[in-house]
Amino acid sequence: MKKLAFAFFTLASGAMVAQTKFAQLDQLLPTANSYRAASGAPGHAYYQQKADYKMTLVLDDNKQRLDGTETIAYTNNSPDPLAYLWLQLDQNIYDQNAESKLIEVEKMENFKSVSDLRKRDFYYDGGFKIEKITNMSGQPMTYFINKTMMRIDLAKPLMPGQNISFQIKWWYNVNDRMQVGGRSGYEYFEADKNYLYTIAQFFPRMCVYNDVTGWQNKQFLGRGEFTLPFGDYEVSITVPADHIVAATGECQNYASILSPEQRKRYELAKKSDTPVVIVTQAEAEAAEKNKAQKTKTWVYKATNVRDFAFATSRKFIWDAQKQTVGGKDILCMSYYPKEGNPLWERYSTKLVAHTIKTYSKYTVNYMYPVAISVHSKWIGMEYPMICFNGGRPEADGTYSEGEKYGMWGVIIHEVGHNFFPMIINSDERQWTWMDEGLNTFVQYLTEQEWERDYPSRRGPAYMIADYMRGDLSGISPIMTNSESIKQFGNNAYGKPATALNILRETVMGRELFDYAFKTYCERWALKHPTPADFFRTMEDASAVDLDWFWRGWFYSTDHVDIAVTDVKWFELNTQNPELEKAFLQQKDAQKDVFIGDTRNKTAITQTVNERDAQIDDFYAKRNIYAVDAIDRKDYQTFVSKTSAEDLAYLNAGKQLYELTFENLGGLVMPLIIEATFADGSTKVERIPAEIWRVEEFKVSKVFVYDQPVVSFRLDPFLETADTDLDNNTWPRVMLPTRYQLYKQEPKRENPMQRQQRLEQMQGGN
Amino acid sequence: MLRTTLSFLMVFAFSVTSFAHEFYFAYAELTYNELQQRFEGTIIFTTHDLERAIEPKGTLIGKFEKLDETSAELKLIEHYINEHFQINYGCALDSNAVDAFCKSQFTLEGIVTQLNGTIECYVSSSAGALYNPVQFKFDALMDRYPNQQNKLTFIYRDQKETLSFLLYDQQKYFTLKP
Repeated sequence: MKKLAFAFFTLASGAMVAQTKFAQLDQLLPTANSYRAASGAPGHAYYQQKADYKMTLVLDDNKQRLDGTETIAYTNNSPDPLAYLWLQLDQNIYDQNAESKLIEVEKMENFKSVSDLRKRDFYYDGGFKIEKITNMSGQPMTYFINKTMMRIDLAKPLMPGQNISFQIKWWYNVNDRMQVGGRSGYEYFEADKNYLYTIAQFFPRMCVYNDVTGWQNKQFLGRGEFTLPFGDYEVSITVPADHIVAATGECQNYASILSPEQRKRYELAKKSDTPVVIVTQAEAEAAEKNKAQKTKTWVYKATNVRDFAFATSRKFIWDAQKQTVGGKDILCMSYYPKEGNPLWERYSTKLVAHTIKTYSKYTVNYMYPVAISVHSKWIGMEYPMICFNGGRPEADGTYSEGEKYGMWGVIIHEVGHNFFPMIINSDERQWTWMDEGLNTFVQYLTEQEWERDYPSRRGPAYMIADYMRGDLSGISPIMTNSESIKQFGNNAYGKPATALNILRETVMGRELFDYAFKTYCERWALKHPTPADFFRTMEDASAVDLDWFWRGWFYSTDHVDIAVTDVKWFELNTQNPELEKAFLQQKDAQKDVFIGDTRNKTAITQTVNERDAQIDDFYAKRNIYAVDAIDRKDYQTFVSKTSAEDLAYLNAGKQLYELTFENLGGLVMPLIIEATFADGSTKVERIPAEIWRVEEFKVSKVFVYDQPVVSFRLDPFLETADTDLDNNTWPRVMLPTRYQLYKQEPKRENPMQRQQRLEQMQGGN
Repeated sequence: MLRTTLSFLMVFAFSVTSFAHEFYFAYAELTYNELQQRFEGTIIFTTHDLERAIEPKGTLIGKFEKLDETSAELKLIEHYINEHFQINYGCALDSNAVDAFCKSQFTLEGIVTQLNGTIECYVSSSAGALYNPVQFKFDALMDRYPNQQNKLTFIYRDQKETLSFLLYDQQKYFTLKP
């Protein structure tokens, strides 16, 4: 510890440092304009196109083939004349010449078995078969297919404010999802020889045309998902008569589709706060055996949605309940084969209801009349109002705890996608994080409201540390195009979700963050936001300059590793000679003594000056610790010139600590420091990240306390994603490794076996 | 051009391209314990990824969550780890030059499956001496998932470094400082 005497002048730091980490994002963001304002809100000239669809679909359950005729009514709300239209042909990703296969990097090591090679060369006659495209007079239109995109050439440009209607007739072979893969397709159940279809990306869909990309016609390579305009849908779906259909929108003809008993249950479910079974397992099992040969047509309508998907099977059990959001009753529904039970009948619909309620609180009120979860093995995939989710118990109906949490997580996540990107309709083809990252963030909030201490996989800051630390060659910035991302899950799901959590818990605080985040959602609901709109809105609605945060977390691969590298301890010099000279004497007495000096005290029996009194002069005889009249007079002078408040402060026994922090990882973050005092009490200091605004790699900060500190700890609540906690403490404490922690724990036992042992023991008693 | 004849195992492995996960990430934390003269560490996998990687080995693993420390199937995991997590290191000196190299042989001391979908494998491997060069290979799951990325934080005395392993970059060196 050092005593500190104040010098009464101010130091001016004149270091000139190039500003990088806190530079504004100006050059990185597009210039604001009349379509997208600098505030992050839609500009006064914002527009978006509209695409309305009327479709007639026929599913052939014997051939697993889907035939469709669609009429698209496209409205040009842009200020630009359009000479051609672009449509997406996503099924063409299954064409044998699709680029998605060709661009896969391969090594011989990837093929370890014949089955690996067979899978690589698996032939499947996929892709759209476009039969004809005509105008509403039946005249053929000129079109050109470029892999997963199709251009329709117009006889004359579609002028601003005009609309055009045309018709496309198509069909395709539905893919075996278990063999071919994909977000949609069918699953075949060998035991009862039935199919469960989850059908999506199944029709030629309009591309988005807007002020950002013009036509967003970047090819579908498999990873970057979809970018779609809003519109209204009227869809009739013809399937085997014993099938149950779940689809985007509201069914218009339950009266002619369902049995009277099922209609009664349906009406009951609409008013129920708990799930009501509409099609029972017994009814589904009967249908599995009988296999109707006739067909029925289900008719759906959906308003202001960006897509349409459906599921159909005679295996479906169906239950539903209502969830009120913003005064409106939403019908939450689940469709699942018996293989999903007992998990699905117990949890799915309740999870749907909880998800739309919780997301509505943090984002915008759910805007659609239904929300549906369909059980589809292994997958998790989202569409407006409907999603396909995994989570299948063992054949004997048992399931592990992990399987249960996996099913809960995927349902919350996929239902949550109704908000990102179905309502807040970002460009998935370009930016995966804008829907997956934001959705994973709200998923975390929703999971924590489902069960206390829910074991969420992503969200808390400390969970991303392993991914972000060390060698950066294998990771990409969040702001990377969907197709080029390294480490897709951590990059586009985990890291942005963590970043938002850090903003909420540490940088902005919950109140400011929640308001700004909700503002973004409200501004861009049913619109097409971009990253800049998000970044700008979060700042605009909070008065927090977050450019440093976006730059570090979204545009770089830096990680957080901030170290406490030095601690200096001071007390104030009271100038009182009685106190200060006594302190000096005490301090000198505590100094370490050289061993030779100690031995000489006894080895040298008498020194010359001890024998000869004439040797010691003034210097030798003076007592430097004695307080004399001059000392006292000087102190009186000091007291007379010092205010009572300053004197009281000097005599208060303040303890001063100068802590030095080094930024080893590159990512600047707030400093959260916990001081632990001699009496066991603690105090937490929160220093905003702006402390790094000039010196980006090394800063110091002084803390003043009333009692001595025994230890300091940086990031004590694990809120900054610091990748090395070993350098966060003073005095230095090496944290135990995971291995050491494991070895310290008692022997583990399979919980089920332990339960059996317990029951045997209790039975024995 | 060298022509090589391939002999495949005729295993028609269960294989699905659409398995719905987005993880492809494993992480290991390893120390060299000088007192015990051994490597000690933890390797964390996504549970289902590791299950699927080991399934084709011939024995039904089922759900790792059901295993405990007495389960015979742990040997399969141990074998898999030794195939895909290896250290080659100098282990004897002669006149300041390394004249013998050793290879790790890990013992799986236990596993813990976490409810967030990860499995932690606790391993150790005896190493009587440790000299440069120290080479790590960590290609677990890469044969199954080309996008797999693995990271290893190695701690030796005051040195701590995190290394990244990719399909085309499966080996890394760590330089021991005196």
